[in-house]
Amino acid sequence: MKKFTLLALSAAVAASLSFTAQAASEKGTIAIMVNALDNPYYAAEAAGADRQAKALGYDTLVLSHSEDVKKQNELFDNAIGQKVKGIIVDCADSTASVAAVQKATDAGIPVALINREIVKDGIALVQLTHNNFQAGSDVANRFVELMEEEGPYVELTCNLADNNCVTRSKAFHQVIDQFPDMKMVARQDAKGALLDGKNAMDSILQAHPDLKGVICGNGPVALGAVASLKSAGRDDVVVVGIDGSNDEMDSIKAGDLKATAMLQAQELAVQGVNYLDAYLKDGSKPEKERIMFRGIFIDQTNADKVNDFLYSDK
Amino acid sequence: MNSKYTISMYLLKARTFIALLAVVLFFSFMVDNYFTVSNLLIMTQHVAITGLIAIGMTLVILTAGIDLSVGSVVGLGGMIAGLLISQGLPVGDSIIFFNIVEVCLIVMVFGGLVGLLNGIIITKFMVAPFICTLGMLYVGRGSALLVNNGSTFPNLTGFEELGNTGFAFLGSGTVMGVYLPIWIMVIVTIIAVYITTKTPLGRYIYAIGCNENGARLAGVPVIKTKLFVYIFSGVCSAIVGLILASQLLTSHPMTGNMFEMDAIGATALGGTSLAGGRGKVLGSIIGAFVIVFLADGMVMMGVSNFWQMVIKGIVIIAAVIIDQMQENLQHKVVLMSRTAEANAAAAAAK
Repeated sequence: MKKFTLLALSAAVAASLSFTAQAASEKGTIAIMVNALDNPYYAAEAAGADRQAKALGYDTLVLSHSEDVKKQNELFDNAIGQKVKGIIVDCADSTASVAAVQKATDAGIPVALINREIVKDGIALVQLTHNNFQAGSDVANRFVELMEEEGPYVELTCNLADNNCVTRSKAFHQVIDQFPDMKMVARQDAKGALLDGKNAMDSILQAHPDLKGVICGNGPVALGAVASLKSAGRDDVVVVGIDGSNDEMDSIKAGDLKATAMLQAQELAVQGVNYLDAYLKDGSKPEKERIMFRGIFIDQTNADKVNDFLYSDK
Repeated sequence: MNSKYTISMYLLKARTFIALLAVVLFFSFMVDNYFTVSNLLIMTQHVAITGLIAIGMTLVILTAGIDLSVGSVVGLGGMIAGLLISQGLPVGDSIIFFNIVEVCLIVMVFGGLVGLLNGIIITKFMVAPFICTLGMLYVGRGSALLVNNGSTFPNLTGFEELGNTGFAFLGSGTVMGVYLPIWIMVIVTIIAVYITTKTPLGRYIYAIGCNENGARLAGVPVIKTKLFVYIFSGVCSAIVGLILASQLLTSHPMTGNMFEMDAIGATALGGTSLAGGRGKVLGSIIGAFVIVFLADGMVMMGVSNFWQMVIKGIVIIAAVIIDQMQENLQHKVVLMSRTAEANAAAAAAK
């Protein structure tokens, strides 16, 4: 029995050694860290970075920190220990991630931040973010139009502990609050999730059966609201969201979700990898550290041009 | 003196029910449309989710065990249903599509198998239930994510030509004006109440929770009974996975995350002792009503999500504190009645 265990162990070690030996390529590895791989947005982000890095001849390491600052810190330690060439990360928290990014930069590893920024300048190589304000405004404008500038509506925020979500909500109100006949009768945080979106909508619909519209902070919440309204047989309520996943596109094509703004997750990740690559080649840095990407407004006319957060006009 | 204690003891015994009444009364006054038939039905539909898991959890906890894997089984069950409906089961070169009833049965059997596995690991390999089901929580969640590589199965409406349409009925359909999940909860509750109160199996469950060694020596089939409760819990979770996937017409691999905590909360709120041997299935159902009616009421009132979490936690802790008070009071009343009897006997002897 003991002999067998020993044999199995050594075989496993040998296998893993040969695996790493095989995997090592000349240009080295780029670590890609995103929030969670089960969310279509983050999965698209990871996929975009992964594809681009491989196309440029790097190996990749795709990791998820589950929005956990401690885990992110450990992943940074692992990446530094592994001597990766660069890190591209959708960070767990805008303030609590500063130390981890600093640590990598001190170790000579360039860090490209995507989707979420950190509060300090001059540490990361580049910080690429979505223009959540513009995306939110675009969606809110269409929302007001569809509501014919009046009536009771509901806001379902995605996760108020996340800066991007707060920005979107501000953008909504910047636009909607200009119309005095638009009345927000309820506002609830739905944790960015499908089921929470549905349950919240179920209850709010009971409290305010007269509502005419729902504006949602992200895609899953919007789809949850759509599911709730559908089961209540209410096809007269306008639902809009922000995100741009394929599931949302299906819903828009079916006419359930009226509009969304697609965040260019793949484009962001691809550009992040490009900036890392340029820096690794000749030390060139981007002109500005903080670069914003606009959200692309989507409705029934252009929903078929989106695939996995990638908009193609062909 | 004695009667005063007796009254407060009855009040304490009915505390979950009183809490439910308080919640309903409070929100009925505070929120328009809270106390309407349609809202009560919607909220009870939400209760069914927590309630069904809490029933399985109660049986497990009565044997002094715990099942932390329920939430993961919800997610995995939903994913399997999604896979079977949208992609079918590949066997060799062909792909088999099942009709909706078969899909539901397969997922329920699967849930039972996960429970059986839990039970075998706990009874045969002597792993503590907390550890075993904690491990299964991770295995289940990871497997749910693996099924479709972290993605969802959207639009589970089925295909007309494959004859697997109609999945939406399970979660959103109504029978005699009442949502199907509510009926399912009622049926499962009746089964569980019958088992725990009217059958030898029910006695075994309580006996194991009170004193496992004693029960074994008395001839209780400890292993079989434990296997049964974990299988039951697994099936309940799988049913919830089906209901949620049906309501959303989507299976999402993270569905059911943290459900185990709500179920344990409902069970504790309903007066079941986590040490086992004491508690009632109906209590847990009322506990689930309290948790969900409170949560939905707060949403309707517009209370911030952050406060909702704080309030839910406080309610659960308060419930267990009151539970302890009832325990103490019960002992006191028993002692007092014994002393009274002894005094009476002594007086009679004189």
